[in-house]
Amino acid sequence: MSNKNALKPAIHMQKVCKSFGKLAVLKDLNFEIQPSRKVALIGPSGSGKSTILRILMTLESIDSGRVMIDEEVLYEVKEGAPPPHLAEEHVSKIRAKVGMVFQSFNLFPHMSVLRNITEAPVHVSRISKEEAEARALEFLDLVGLKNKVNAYPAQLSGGQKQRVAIARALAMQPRIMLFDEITSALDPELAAEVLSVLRNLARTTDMTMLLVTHQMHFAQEFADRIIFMEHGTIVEEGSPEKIFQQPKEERTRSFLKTVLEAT
Amino acid sequence: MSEIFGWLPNLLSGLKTTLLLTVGATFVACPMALAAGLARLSRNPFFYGPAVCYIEVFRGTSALIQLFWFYYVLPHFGFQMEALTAGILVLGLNIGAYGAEVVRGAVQSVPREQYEAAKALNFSKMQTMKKIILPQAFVAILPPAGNLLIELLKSTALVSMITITELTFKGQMLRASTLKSTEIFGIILILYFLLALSITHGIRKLERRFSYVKV
Amino acid sequence: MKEIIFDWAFAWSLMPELMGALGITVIATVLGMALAMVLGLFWAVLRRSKNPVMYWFSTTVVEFFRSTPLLVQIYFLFYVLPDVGFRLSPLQTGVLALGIHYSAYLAEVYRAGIDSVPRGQWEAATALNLGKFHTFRSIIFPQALPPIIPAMGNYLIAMFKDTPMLSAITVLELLQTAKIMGAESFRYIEPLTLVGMLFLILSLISARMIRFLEKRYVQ
Repeated sequence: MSNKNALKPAIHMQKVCKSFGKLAVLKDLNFEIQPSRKVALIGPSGSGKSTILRILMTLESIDSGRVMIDEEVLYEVKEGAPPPHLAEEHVSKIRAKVGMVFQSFNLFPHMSVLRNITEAPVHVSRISKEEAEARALEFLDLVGLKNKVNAYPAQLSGGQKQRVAIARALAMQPRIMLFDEITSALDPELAAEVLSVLRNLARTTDMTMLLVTHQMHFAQEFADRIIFMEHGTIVEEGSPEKIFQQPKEERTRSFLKTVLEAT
Repeated sequence: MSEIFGWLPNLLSGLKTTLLLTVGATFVACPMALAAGLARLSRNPFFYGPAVCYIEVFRGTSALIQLFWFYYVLPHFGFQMEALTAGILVLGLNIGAYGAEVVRGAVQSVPREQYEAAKALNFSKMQTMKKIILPQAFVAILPPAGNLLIELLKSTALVSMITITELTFKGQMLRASTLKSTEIFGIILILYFLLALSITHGIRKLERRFSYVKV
Repeated sequence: MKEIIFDWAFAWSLMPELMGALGITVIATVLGMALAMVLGLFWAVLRRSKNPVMYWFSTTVVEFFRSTPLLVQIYFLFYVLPDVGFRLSPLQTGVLALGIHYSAYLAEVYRAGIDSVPRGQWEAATALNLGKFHTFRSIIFPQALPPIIPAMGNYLIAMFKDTPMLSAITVLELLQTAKIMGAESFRYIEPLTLVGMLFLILSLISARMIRFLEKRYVQ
């Protein structure tokens, strides 16, 4: 299924199962993502796309299977076995390689924009305050919000909040960035400004990026690989051209038809 | 009118004791509320067990009975203390128990997403609590804390019953010697009212200072 | 040093009298609450008035009753009422003070309950040409009631725990009875501990009941 490169996969999920109560969200999921690739996860809501991101960010555990990041095991659970206790140190080390931007921004409302961005670099990565601030300004510039350094989240528009959230995640210098429906809570014109930031980012960095989105047009131009999911399994994957122009599976076709007609 | 000036030294010294009780008890109540409120949220029974006991006992019995118990019964167990100490301790522990529930509610009111964002940035659990959750909870604590502070101020009147010469006690003394009940208790009620108003005012100012936090 | 710290036999012998005192405590609470409910509704209605004088008056009165000590209010009524010609028993005075003090809290409870009913309900009733009184009684009040009931329950417990203050004006409720027992026997530990336990048990039971009401009425 996947093209075996010489490169080691940045993300590797093997036979991952996850359910919430009786509802199985991920069923025996297998996939790998090579470093520097930009991958978009698409599919109807409830298909398990966001759960994948949340597992990679250690916000959810798994029921069984194996999850590896940069060749290091994050989770490994045998079927039916109790979840193993993970050493916080180990998880924290792997977690440092991953950054995430959320649908609801989740900025810290009691901190200025600058502190939102510098707090983790200073207190988690332990770099100096001056360096953190210099870096923060760089990233704020990148997302076009250098003039909002001293503002508080409550004073920003939704689109601006999301751009700060992107800068905040970037400031931790992760190798892998996860974007979880980051424009779903935004009006179209505000979504456009966030997407344009993302587009630039995708072009200029070699970070691995995994994006969950409902905006097919954006997925098409952002990603070099598309994964279509439904009911907790991968139905089809491939290049954007292949998925959008000649989808093999009937389920992919009917999904794309419904979504593209609606927009 | 000139009579009132004659009462003034007595009333002012009573007022001073009332303020001392209020401030002293606040210093007892704040750490207790924070510790018990956070312990109550812990999943470890060694933390939440004692916290639940403390909160239920001090909220479940009445402040006046706690006061008498500390003052008359505790000495039998070898804890002798001055009336003023007992007063500050009991009032502080009593309001602290109510405050613990406020702290608990405020911490729970911080959305789950804030914990997730902190985790995604790799903050430790301690850092998350200290830097992300508690500062936001603090803003939610302010209005109910203002109400509790007024409840505390009001409950300082109770210690007049274990012979502490605060405002209400001085009022009782003045009434006994002058029999001018209306004037004396009228003045005392107004003094308490003014103190309560200034507490409300102070808390509002603090709330406004932190209004930028509102999402 | 073989002194008995807690004398169970002595404690047991105090129970019948304490139960009688508990009766007085309960009577004071129930009557005080009844008064507070009526008076509180009166303040709440006045506070909704469009007349600025009435609004200002009711707001100030409620603020004043709420932010001054109940004990001082009890003393005030106890000493001032006879001066102006009202002769009330200590228990009657105590009920009056509890009722007035808590009416201020209940006024807030009513207000919050009424405010919780969406504006659209008033507008719909107006559109149907229902009278103001009718609207309030049959449309607004029934919807405002669910959040009001548990909040009232909480204040009922709070009032119950405030009744020991009536001991200051010689009402023979639980605390006063315990104090007299202590003075007669020179043993405070048993009566005061028993009274504390009685309050604790009763408040815990009533708090449970209120949580049940909350689950039932507030979704």
